[in-house]
Parts: sequence; C-alpha cells; structure tokens
Amino acid sequence: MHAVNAAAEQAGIRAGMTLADARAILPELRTSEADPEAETRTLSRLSDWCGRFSPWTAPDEENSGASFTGAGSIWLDVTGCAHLFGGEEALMRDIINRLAGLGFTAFGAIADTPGAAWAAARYTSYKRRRWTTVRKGQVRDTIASMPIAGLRLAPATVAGLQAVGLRRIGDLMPMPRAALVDRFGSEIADRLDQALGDRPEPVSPLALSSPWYTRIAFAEPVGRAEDITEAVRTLARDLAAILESDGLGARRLTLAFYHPDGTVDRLEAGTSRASRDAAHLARLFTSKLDRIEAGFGIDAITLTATASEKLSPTQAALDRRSETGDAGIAELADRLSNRLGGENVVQLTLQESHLPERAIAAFPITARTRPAPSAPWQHGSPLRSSLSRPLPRPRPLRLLSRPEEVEAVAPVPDDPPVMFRWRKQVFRIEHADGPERIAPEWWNDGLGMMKTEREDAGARDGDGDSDGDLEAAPAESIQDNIRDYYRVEDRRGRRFWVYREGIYSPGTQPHWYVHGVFG
Amino acid sequence: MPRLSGSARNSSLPPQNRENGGIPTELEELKARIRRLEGFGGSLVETARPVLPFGVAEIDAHLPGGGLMRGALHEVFAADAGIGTAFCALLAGRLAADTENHSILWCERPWALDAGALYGPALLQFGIDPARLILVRARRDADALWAMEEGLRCDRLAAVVGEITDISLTASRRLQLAAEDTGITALALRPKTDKPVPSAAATRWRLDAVEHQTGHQTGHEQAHIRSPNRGANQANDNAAFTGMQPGPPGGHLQSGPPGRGFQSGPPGLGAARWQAELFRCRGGISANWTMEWDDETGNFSMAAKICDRPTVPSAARLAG
Repeated sequence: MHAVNAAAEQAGIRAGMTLADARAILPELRTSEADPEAETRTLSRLSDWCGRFSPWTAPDEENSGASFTGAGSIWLDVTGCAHLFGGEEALMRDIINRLAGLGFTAFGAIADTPGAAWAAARYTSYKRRRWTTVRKGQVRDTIASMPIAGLRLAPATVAGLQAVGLRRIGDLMPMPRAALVDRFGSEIADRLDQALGDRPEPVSPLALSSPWYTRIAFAEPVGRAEDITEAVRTLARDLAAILESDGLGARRLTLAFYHPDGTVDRLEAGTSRASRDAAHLARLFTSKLDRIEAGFGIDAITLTATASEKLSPTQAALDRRSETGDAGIAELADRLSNRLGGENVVQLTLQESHLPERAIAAFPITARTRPAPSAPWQHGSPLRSSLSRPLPRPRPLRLLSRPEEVEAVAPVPDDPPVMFRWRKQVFRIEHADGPERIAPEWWNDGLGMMKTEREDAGARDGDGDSDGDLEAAPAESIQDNIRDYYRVEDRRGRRFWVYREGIYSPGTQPHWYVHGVFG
Repeated sequence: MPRLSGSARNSSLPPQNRENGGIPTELEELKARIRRLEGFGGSLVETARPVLPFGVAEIDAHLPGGGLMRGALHEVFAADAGIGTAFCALLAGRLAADTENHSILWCERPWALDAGALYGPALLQFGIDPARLILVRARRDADALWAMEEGLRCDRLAAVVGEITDISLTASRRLQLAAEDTGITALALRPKTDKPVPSAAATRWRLDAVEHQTGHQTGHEQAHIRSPNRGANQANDNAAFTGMQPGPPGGHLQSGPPGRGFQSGPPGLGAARWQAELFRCRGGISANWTMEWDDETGNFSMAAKICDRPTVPSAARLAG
C-alpha cells in the first residue's frame, strides 16, 4: 500500500501493508496503481497554483518521486505576504479551503523555519480546523512534543532512535550532539538545527522569486475582457509604484492568471529598456490578453517583474515630446517584440568582415546584451563625409540570404558576364563595373570554414584593410574562395551584384553567382 | 492648396458651381470641401498639409501641395524589387533627415518581393542610418500591417515602410487614418500586380527599371554585346543562351572608352535610371517620369533626354 485515505485508515489499513493484508482486513477496499510521477506532477502544478498566495513556492523535493509517500508537501515563503490576506490565520484558512475546493485534503502550518512547519503540518493533532500556526519563538516548545519522524529523518534512523527509546523530538534536544553524530551520522543534528532555526535551510523556489510583485484577487471569478484589462492596468500601476520607490525599472515581466480549477496561465513580456511607466507596462500585455482562456473565470492575477534594472528617477519635462524621447521608440519596439517575437524585431550592426553577408549582423532590439558593433556606421553622405576616405564601395540594397548560382556566359579570364540565367530568366548585360575582389580573411583559411560559416550571421572580428590585394594568397583554398564582384546592368535596366568564385585557371568552368540587387 | 486646375476632379464638379466660380469665397469653400473629402484636411486656410518635396521641379510642380504628402499612405509597386526598395529608402531617408525624429520602422518581408534582405551598408547611401532603423520581420501580411499601424501611432518615427503583398481597402484606410493622426508618412512597398485593388493611399507609384534603347549609346557602340535577336522574346533569349559559346564575342575585346576600370567588356554604370509612374494621385493627376539617381552623390534628378545624355557614362569605379 502506497497511500491510504482517511476511511481506510480508520478501518486499520496503513501505508506499507501488502495488498493481500489490506484486502483481508477490508475486502471491499478500492485500489488503484500508484503513479509517483503523476503525483509529483500534480504537486508541482499545485505549487504553481499556490503562486497566488506567495511568489515563492516550491514542491518539497525530498518527499517526491520515488520516496513519495502519498503525503507530499509544498513550501510557501509567506514572509510579507500574510497581511495581504488579513494575517497568517486567514491566509492558512484561505489556502486550506481553496485546496479543499479543488478536492485535496490538505494540512498546513506556518512556522518560523521550514523544518518546524513541516513537523507541525504533519504531527499537530488537528481538531476543528486543518491548519496551525506556530507562534514566533514557540518553535522549540511546539515541536518538542512531536514524534521524531517530524524531523524528516530516514525511516531507518527513526527506527534506530525508537529502539533506544527516543520517541519525541524533545527527547533529542538535551542529548549531546557528539553522541548522536557518532551513532546516526550528522543527519539528526542537522535536521534538529534546521527545525530550530540554528542552521539555515535553503529551499529553491519553483520560479525565481522576485520582490517586485503585485497581485489582485477577485471575490468572484471574472471573465469579461474589460475587467481583466482593467485589472492588468491596476497591477501595472501598483508595480510601477513599487519599482519607483526602489529606483528600478522592469526588463522582464510575468503576468499569471489563476483559474478556479487550479490551472495557471502565464504571459511573459520584455522591455528593451528598463521601464516603470504603468501605461506602457500594461500595454505590453493588453495585446496578448486574447490568448488567455477565461473559461470559468479568473480568480486572481499576479504581475511580477522577473528582471529589473536600475532606472534613475526622471523629472517630468515641461515639453511632453522631449520627455518621451527615445522611450517612445523603445515602447514601440517592446510592443512589436512582444507580439511578433523578439527575434523578429531587429537592428543591424556593422561587423568587420570582408564577406558581405557577414559584414552586418542583426540582433534583437530587446536583447539585453548586444554585439558590440565593430565599426560605426558612417554618417551622412558616404562621399562627402571625408575626402581622405576612399570611395565607399557600392553595395546592393537587397542582399540575397545566400548567393544563388547562375548559368553565365563570360569572356575569360576576368570579364563580367555577357549574359546569365537566373531563376529561369535570361539577363543580357549592357553595363558593368568591377571587378571588386573580396577574399575571405586570411586567417579563415579553409573551404570548410566558408561552407560551414556561410549561414552563420555572426561576423568575425578582425582588422582588415585588404579587400583587393590578396592576389597571391598562399593557401589554395583562399584562392578558391576569392570572389570577383561585378555590378552589372542588364538591357532592361535592372542592376545586379554578381561574382565569380575563385581565380580563373584555364580549363575550368568558373562559377558565377548572383548576390544582390541594386536600386 | 492643391492644384486642381486641369484635373479630372475639377471638371467633375456640377456646372452651376463653375458658373459661380467668380465668387472666390464660394469657390474656396467648395475646394475646401473637396480637400476634406479627399483627406487633405478641410480648413479654409491656405496651409495645406506638409509635404516632402522631391527636389525636382517638374515632379514637385505636378504633385498637389508641391511634394509628397506627409502623414499619408503612399503605395509603391515595385516592378523591380531593387528600384522599388531604393525609391522607398530614398523617401524614408529624406523624411528622417527632414524631421526631428530620425527613426524609421521598416517591415521587411524579402519573400513578398522575392528579393534578398535589406542590406545595411547600402542604406547609408539613401540617408538612412541603420542604427536608427527598426527592422521588423513579419511572416504574414496581417502582422506587417499591424506593425505598420503600431508604428504610425508612435509619434517618434519619421517614416514607416512596410513590404506588403496584399492590402485591402479597409486596411489601407486604417493606415491612412493612423498616418493622418500622427503625421507620420507611411510607405507600402508592394510587389508588382497587374490590377491593384483600390486603396485609400494618397499616391500610388509603379517603379521600374528603364529599358535600354538600342542605337542610342552612340559613343561606345563597339563595346556593346551585339546579338542578332536583341529585343526578342525570352524563348529566343534562351535559345541564344544555349547556342552561345563561352568566350569573347566578336568585337568584344576592342577597348572601350578610356578611363574605365577595365579595358574590355561592357561600359561602366552611370547613374541609375528609374521609371516612376504615378498612376494614382489624390487631388492630382497621374504622370510618368524617368528619374535618375546617382548613388555617388545621392542626387536625384530628372533623366536627361536620351539624345542629350553624355556619350560616356560617368567615371566608373576602379576595381576595388
């Protein structure tokens, strides 16, 4: 027997019995296969659900999985949360009653330490209610009368202690620690210290907890879109106030909806720069609210800033326009990123690479860390910017994601094509400029490098000033990868960027590619 | 005030109004009403909506208000993807340079135009600072339209460009209204279609390359590739393609004009020439221009008549 319910327990059936024994006691006993994994999942989901009470929840890892005994537990750190519910008593009542509503028989305890709460929840003799709160400073007295199993000890240890007549936790307290450690290892001493608060006990929460957290609970489940939108605005306003008092701005936010059936829906949103503008934070979510199934309604919503950054207080400017400034752009970028996906709202940076497809990199505009541009964009008219600077080399306005090979007719050894066929169309060349020789950087020496990294958007760093003078590159593979680019205009006036791969050698057919189109 | 003279709209007014045309106030009022109906703003005051002049007298004189209306939707049909993109980039770049907002939102959808992605280094030539460019990659038209509308509602942008395959009248109306609200100019860059559905755009353009005229580039005839079936249809082109052997065609190795980057082969490229057809213009009439855009200077001008063109194209760039 893995676990038994109250009725079976009254009939004398205990966990750990064999099924045959249990059937002998109670022939009409109904049983089903134990499924520890499903129980662990349920516990984890319930822990999630408990996020409505505290942002810091975790299923009790030590009591799940294979060692699950049918009585799993969930940790809630309710520090600073209880007052939201009208005190610790009221909070516990709410938790236990709601769990009962979901069909779970739950017992709860609030204590100063996790260990004491664990013991109190299991070994309190409940009368009318199924929860208890251990007063501050009363931990020692409360748990002293509880069985030693309340210290979360291994069954063998419990049996060993009972064999020497130690039954209550209080019996262990006056014992010399050294003797206990000698006999049973450090387990007992550790657990005792944890329960009494002499040794810290870290428990990792299910979700990363954040102190910037607001919640709203409804007396009756709400389902109307307007109500939910309004609630989100309220939450955003509250959160913005908390953030402001701490001098912070939110970078990532989680909005969680708690349904009456115990399920939780979450929406995530990010900002491209720290923000505590309530209207903006609310807008990040309002466009996504249609993804939430209201179903039977929603009875609580929480908004958490899961990541935040320092944001110095800003003085409201007299002129509204200058106040919004770049923030207006950032907010737009946030809205776009949140709906279309961060990877689809990008900015371009220039990277130092000879290869045109690697010379720019796109990075999400909301990315927290951006690749440092290896070169600044030249401002102004490319020609007029500086007379000493060499002419900017013409680049196509649209670059194909990968060069497309074309069938070309070109005079040898190094003339632009006379005509080429691309995408089943024939283009006859009337004008051409070039060639511009582009070679891979000398330290990228191989064909393999080129082939594998061609799709790689990440450009390589480096210092290069040699676009055209790699004529006599030592490695043959570089020669094969040298490209001679031509700007060509066909008879209909369309302009293309084509290149021949490799250096001409007699007897081989050169390969031609189209890489982009000009305006 | 829009120049209505000579337009089809003016002649469609009821005749009695024309008779009363002697009374200026009434005429003004009617004109204002037309402007209001056309979305130019109905005020009687002469201040028309702000425009972006092309800087080419011929075009600016033709467009109502003396330029491309700001705070409106303009559609650009790209018969040639590169030129359509260039036209939009040019307008967006000028809008960014001209206003206090310098950011541009560009909804890029390379597959809609069947061309590659926007290439940052080239944008500089059009006055667009890539650091001020927000590039949105939308899978569907609906997403691109939504992003454009969001952009138009953010009053910190200079221009919004969207590559859109299909746009309904309702959707274009939404964009037009959003653009009117904030005064941001919206450009819809669209692949070429034979029969564009009606839209609320203020102007609709068709951009294409300018076909080469045979026999006009007199200065460097001998450098040209001559083929017997020049101007023939594609089937013939293909036949010629397969029949042609690699190698220098006859006369091809004769040297071209001096000062060019290479001694053989076709002549170098000059300024790009664009065929810009304004086929719908609210408050104006359609027109067709051949423009020239010099990528070295960023200058934009009317193309000289073919016969007036210099025989040698401007100096080609040397091999890089």
